[in-house]
Amino acid sequence: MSEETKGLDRRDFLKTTGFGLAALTFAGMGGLLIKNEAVAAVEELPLSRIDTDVLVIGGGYAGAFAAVEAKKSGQNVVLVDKGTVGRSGQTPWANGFNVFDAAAGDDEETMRTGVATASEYLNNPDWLELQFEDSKLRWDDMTEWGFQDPSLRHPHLALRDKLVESDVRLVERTMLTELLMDNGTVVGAIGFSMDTEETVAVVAKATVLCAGAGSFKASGFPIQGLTSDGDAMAYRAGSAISGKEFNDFHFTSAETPADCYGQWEGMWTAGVSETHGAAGGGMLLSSAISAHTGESSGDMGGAPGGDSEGSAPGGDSAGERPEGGPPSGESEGGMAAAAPPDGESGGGAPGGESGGGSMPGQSQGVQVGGAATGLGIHKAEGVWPTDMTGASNVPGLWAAGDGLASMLCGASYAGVGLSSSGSAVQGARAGAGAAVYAAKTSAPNVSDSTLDAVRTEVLAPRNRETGYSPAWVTQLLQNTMFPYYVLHVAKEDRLQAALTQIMFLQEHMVPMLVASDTHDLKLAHETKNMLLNAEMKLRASLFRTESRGTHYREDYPARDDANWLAWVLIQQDENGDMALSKEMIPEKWWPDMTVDYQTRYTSRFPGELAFLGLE
Amino acid sequence: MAIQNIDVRRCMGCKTCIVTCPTDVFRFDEKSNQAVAKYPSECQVCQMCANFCPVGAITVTAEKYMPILTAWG
Repeated sequence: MSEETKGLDRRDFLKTTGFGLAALTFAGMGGLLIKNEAVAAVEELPLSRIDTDVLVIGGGYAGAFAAVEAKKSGQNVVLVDKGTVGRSGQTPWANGFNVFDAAAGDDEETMRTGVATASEYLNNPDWLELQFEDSKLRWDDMTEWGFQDPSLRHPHLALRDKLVESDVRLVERTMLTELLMDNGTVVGAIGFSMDTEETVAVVAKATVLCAGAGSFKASGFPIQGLTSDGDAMAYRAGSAISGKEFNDFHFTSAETPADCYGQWEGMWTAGVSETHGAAGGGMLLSSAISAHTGESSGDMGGAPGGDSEGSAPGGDSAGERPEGGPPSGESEGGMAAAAPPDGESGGGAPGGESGGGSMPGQSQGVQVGGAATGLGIHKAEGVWPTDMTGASNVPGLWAAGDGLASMLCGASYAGVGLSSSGSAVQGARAGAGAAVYAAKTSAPNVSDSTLDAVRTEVLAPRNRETGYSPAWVTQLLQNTMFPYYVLHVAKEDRLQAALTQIMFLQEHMVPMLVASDTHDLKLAHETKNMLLNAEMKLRASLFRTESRGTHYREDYPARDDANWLAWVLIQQDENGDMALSKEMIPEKWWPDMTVDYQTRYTSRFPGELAFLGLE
Repeated sequence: MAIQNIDVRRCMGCKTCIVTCPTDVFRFDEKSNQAVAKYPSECQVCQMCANFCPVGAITVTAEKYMPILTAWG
């Protein structure tokens, strides 16, 4: 083989040439389904069992802080990462860390107002109070852990060094994908190693999910390793999930949409810096609306999620940024510098980036949205907490970071760097909470036969002789969910049509996925988890019959404060079906209802005022 | 193709790319004692492998082409 094709295995080569299908058909091999080239009998694959006090799943900010804190409390801690700590998930790309520091001039009331306005009042201010209390402590921890050490190849490798130093047991390149249950209580999780055919079961008194959020492997943003695995396993275990109707805002280059690094190099190279204050952080919606109507968002007076001056990508109809220097709100590619003064969301639209312009670190050039389609709002989707340690409604299960619907932010992102520091703050709190629970809980009694039953299910794609490839089913998912007119400019009939497709894929394709090695097995579970996330997003988008922040319904193009100052909870009902309900937001956190609508919400969705009879 | 090449003259088999890649593109080839891009279709063009590679052996390009969508597969 030439050097150019060295990396391709035979199947990729056949797929590339289009020869594979013909060969299968003409040879009559295995009928019309994909044949598993290396079927493995489950009983022949080794099982590795680890017993511990606290299991942490995920090795970004949230997971690292959770593990260190639980360990500090005297518990034995195992941290399992699908990749490796400091390199997996979104953490390696974080460069703003939002610190609240009264001594540096930060003001609590200003921050409360800024976050609530940007979130369109769907945030939970109690979690902001934790930021006031803890964010500077966590920043000081990071400094002590050596984030600024110039000898590190990358700042976030300091997380891994700290875990090793703390004697946290690391199990890396291992995907845990099902929670272990005993009488309705979570007692650990099970999955498999990427590098061996080993099944890995971690039996634990308490489990903290820090597996991040996920996209549908959209191109152009460094998140393809995340596929909502935490939300999926928590949902299957009976946890309530929230925040699914809102949408991420990141863009990619229209000319080379796969060029993630070319787009976000600035985020990679900027290092980690303190940020302060609140600000709207999204601008996808105005661009998606422009793509839909052919009109500039500037003409629309700035849609939520957009920028009222139309200078965001897509802010003019071509999606092209005005020529010249870097957009306002950004300086030299550093997220740190993008925090607006005074913590105000300022003149920008709620959900929009104040001052307009590109995301920090973003490349110049023609932009297209949807680089992380499937992702919600940082700190506003995932497991629904029942207390301020991130405990779920399922005993034994905690979550933190982007896998916890803390609602630190709400219908839009609310402050540069809030995601990173929110993960650190929540991770430490969850680790402490899980440690307290573990200290008073006896070791779970999980029999080998119980483990065998779960692992048979987890490994089923390895054992299946024919079926569908995970890559092909993922492609179908992407074709269904990527177009802007499904999630970003939504309407009941289109959401319902997409849901029909997604349900078919879940019901017909998932039970037929095949995996000929551990890589394929990972893809099979990622596909299954992404499909569940798609179902949650579609059902939540259908359920919220209003528009708010990054959720825009053409058929309900206005905020409906009378009915929708509420969070949407998703949970299995007694029949195992997906059920949705509303959790009303306490009145003390509502916007000022005495002011008229157009003053309460200064940004406009297309068709909004006509829908309300206000024009 | 996103992940383009691992230069066999430079790769010293340190496995850094394997533990770095968030989408599991690389595996270790016991015969050559070098890394191979075994699953190139998973490459997300984040360049983390190239940025971490201590000997600059990895080339990642901006372009990526998705497989043709077939009726089943």
